[in-house]
Amino acid sequence: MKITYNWLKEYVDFAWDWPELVERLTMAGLEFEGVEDLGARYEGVVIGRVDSCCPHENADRLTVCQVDVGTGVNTIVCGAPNVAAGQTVAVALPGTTLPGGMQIKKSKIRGVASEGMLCAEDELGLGDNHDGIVVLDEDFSVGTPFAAATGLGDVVIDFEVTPNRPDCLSLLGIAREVHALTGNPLRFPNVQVTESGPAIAEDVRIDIETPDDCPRYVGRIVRGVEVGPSPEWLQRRLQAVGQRSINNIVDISNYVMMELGHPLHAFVIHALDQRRIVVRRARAGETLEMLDGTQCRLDEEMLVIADGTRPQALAGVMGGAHSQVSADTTDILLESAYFAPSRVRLARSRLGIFTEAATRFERGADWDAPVQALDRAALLITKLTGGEVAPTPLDVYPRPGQRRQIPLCVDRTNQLLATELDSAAIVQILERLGCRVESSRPLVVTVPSFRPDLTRPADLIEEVGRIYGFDRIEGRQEASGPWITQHNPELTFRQVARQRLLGLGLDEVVSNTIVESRWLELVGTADRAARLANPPTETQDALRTTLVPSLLDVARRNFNQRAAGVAIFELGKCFVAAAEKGVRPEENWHLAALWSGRVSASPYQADTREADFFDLKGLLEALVGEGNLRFAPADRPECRSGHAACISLGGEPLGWLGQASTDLCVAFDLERQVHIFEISFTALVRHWHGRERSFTALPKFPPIERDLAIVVRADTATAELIATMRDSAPHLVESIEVFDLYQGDQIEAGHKSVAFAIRLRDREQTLQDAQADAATSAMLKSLEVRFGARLR
Amino acid sequence: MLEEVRQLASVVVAEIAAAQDDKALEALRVHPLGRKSRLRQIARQIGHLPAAQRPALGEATGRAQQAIQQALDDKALALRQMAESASALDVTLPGRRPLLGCAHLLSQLTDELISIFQGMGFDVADGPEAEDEYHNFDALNTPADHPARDLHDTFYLEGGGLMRTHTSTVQIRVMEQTPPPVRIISLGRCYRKETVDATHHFAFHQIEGLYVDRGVSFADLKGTIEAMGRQLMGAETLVRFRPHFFPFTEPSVEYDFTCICKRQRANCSICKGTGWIEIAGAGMVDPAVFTAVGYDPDEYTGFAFGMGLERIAMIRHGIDDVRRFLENDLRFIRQF
Repeated sequence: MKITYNWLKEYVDFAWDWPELVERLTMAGLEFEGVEDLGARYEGVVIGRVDSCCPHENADRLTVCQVDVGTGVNTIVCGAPNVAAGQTVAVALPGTTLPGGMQIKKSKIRGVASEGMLCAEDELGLGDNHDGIVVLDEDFSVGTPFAAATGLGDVVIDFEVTPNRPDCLSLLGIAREVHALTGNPLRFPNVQVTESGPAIAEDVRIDIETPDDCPRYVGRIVRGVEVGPSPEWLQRRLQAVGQRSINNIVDISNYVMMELGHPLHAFVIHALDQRRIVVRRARAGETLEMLDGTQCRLDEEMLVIADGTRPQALAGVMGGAHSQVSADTTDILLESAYFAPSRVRLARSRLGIFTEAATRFERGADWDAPVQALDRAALLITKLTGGEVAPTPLDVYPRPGQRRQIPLCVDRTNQLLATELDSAAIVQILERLGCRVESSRPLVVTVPSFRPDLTRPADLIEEVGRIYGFDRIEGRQEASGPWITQHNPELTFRQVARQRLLGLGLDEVVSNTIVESRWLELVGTADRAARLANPPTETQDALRTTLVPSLLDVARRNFNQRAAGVAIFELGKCFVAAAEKGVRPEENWHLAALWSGRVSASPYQADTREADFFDLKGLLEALVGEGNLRFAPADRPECRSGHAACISLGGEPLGWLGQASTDLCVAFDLERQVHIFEISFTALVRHWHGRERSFTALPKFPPIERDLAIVVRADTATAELIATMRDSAPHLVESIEVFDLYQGDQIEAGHKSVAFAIRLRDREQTLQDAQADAATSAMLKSLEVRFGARLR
Repeated sequence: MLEEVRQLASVVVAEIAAAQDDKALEALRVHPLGRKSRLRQIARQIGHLPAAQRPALGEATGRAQQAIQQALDDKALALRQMAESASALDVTLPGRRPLLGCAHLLSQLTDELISIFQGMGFDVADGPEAEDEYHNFDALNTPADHPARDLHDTFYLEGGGLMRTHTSTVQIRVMEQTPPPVRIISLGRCYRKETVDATHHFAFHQIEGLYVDRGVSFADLKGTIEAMGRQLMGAETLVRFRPHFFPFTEPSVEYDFTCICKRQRANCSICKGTGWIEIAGAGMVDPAVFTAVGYDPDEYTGFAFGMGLERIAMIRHGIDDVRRFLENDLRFIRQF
């Protein structure tokens, strides 16, 4: 909502300059959007007086003037035919840039030095006239800035008005706020109309078919208007607050809407069939050509203003082209109504039309304002265009409005706001806001018709706090307690997991949850995805079921930026569509990591190999910590065959680990090997949370270490070899680690050599070499029997 | 003989000084001081000399031996130092750095906020991102044809439901499950159908706070927000509360923090010279919200607040483009 500083002053006095006005209104709830100093364009233009004129010696049409500009007398060469001594003029001093873009410099014009320019209308951006210089009122004092002297130096202030405050969408509404803050009296504009001619009822008939949609409809007839351009002051004001000038009738109705906040519409009477106004629902198939030339298809839920046969306007939204005011219009019917907000909102949003009128009606107009607004417009029309106002407004009012009464408890108000206001102070604030207050216990507050947002005590408490000033309420730093925060294992473990992965060298990423369906198709989960009905882009229309494509995309981005290696993880939510309609998608926390490219941070003397399966597997093992983590070969559509594993933890499925398939890498422009794991974070948390953490006594007796190297078929799973070895000497085995793996010329084809470091210990007594040898032999024996292994 | 001893000493000392390495030095040690050395021979002859000559020659051979020994020690030390300095490290070479990951800025801020609010006795609650109309709008006093719905351009799901437009949904879910008093924060992702540009993204993160009990007042809200402001933006941070409108709070406010420019720069790009940065919204819980969750609005009062994480991070770190957060350029992530 744009207002101008000077315009606002017509309705209420205040001693604030514009920055303070902005500050006060901001602190009362109008959010400052911006300011435009209309006077800034006249910077450098001052009031001057022409002391003398004499013809230029070298040019017939030029005059050499001596002009008093306050700071001295300047010689100015002027080409205007109307310049004369004694005139009060607008002087653009050297260094000025005029609104039209013209730059004024000291110059010599045909041999005579000229210090400035006497301005014509067009040069000041006030109109098109270039016939001569502007001659001003001689009361203006010489030397004062042009903008300040003429009142053109107004300031336009733009406020954002919250949707609960339709009353602030007008100059009067904002003046009411100033009144509430200062107590200075409000000046309501003149609405005294002189009526003449035949009564309205002889000319038109108004019927409301659906009074719930239109509780009130008031018409007034003005006859004999002369349509034409609006006077300059009116055009300037409308332009300042962002309204385009159309013609005087339309401009006046817009002016009254900006002034009082109530939208009006003017119909050409003779365009109304049967001279009737019927407020009714549109009929199926009806169409309406709007003022702006668009054709709208109406439906039976939309409210229209029709004549005897067809719609002439979309109620509260926009008028129709057929009955709009044009140059030859003489008799008009002015409409001022109150429409149900939801009805206007429905039509507005279905047709996608945004108008100033609709904004006001759908948020709730003042049901008590139609007659005043109508009279204000009628008065301005007769003043500016001539014409006569037919006697009495025709006020069809089937559903009279009632001012709401709300009880308000003073103690409750003070308790909620942490204030100590007495009843009188609260009453004063509410009365300045236009309420009537009965000083009973509780207070009984009758709210004004222009405040549809005030319906409950809480709303009134807000008003009291707002006008009293939230900044005057002291913040309280102590809490009443005791308050003990609950341990939240999910949250704790989220932080633990993230810290571990960061420590293990992975960077954390946070990616979009709304992803391209194509991504999910690539990993074969598209059919489980929940989809958006109105996605941000055509392709980005699904909720992610997995973090994998997102990580691949991040890898692509960073390799494109010449990263040597990408090691990243994300801990985030994934979604699975519910099988039943109307049920929310399932949301699960996933943890995924991707490692590709160089494993080391710095190239100096470091490991420059590329990350592989076992780098990422080791990292996952380190993350999970102690526990029964199992890897089994798996076939996964997103993985290279033979390079993927499914993972279980304590017998529960946890997730998978593998190398991204060539197809997937190609889809994400990745040229290097990419390894990924994705696990259910919920399953990991369950494991961590349930883990026993009791103490085991440290061993008292020394261990014996033995190495064992065997040759087995190449496809033998190492984990099974270890399990077999453990089972052969269950009480003595402390650990079995693989320390070497060999395949090549030294052994037969299709076989591999695996070397184990075995640590044996008896927890009860010192282990003897003979026992260790026996245990190792037993292991070898079992391996021979089960896997055909032989000692290497 | 006396002269010979002196000559011998000076020659040997000179030879030692000229030795280039440990091996040469060792040879020199054996030659002048060994059992068969000339100096020893002379020393053995001292006993056969007339008594008058013995002291002078004895002293001379002793001094010569001492001088040679000293020369040997000095040289040995010098050679060791030379050898060590030849193998000295260039300590300015780069260290072999293990990888250390960097937490995403939004996670860092999340952790910081959790820590701030746990310190003030707030529990951390979680709620779904795919929501229903009831929890996102209706229960928050925003019925279907409420103009405030225009403020939220919502993503709807095929088959019903929507992506939550704010974390206020968690207020409802917590209050539905928990009898008062309640003191929680919730952090998470929200969605609004915005055109993506430098200051808007359709996905963003919020923190929500809720405190409900008997006797909770606007002063409690102010105190909490002020405490958060000081911890997030520095001890001198002031907060101002401007009236605003949210359907689910009454009174509603927006709160501003004093700008980090401390009003020293008229053209400050963050506050535009006003000295205040708009942060987010807050207010006292609307009685209609209490009614929706079955709390008695006459008995309980409460406050709620929200705040956008990206906005705070952008202000604190001078980040110019909100798209950076979900883009995951590691050069961005590793800056914080």
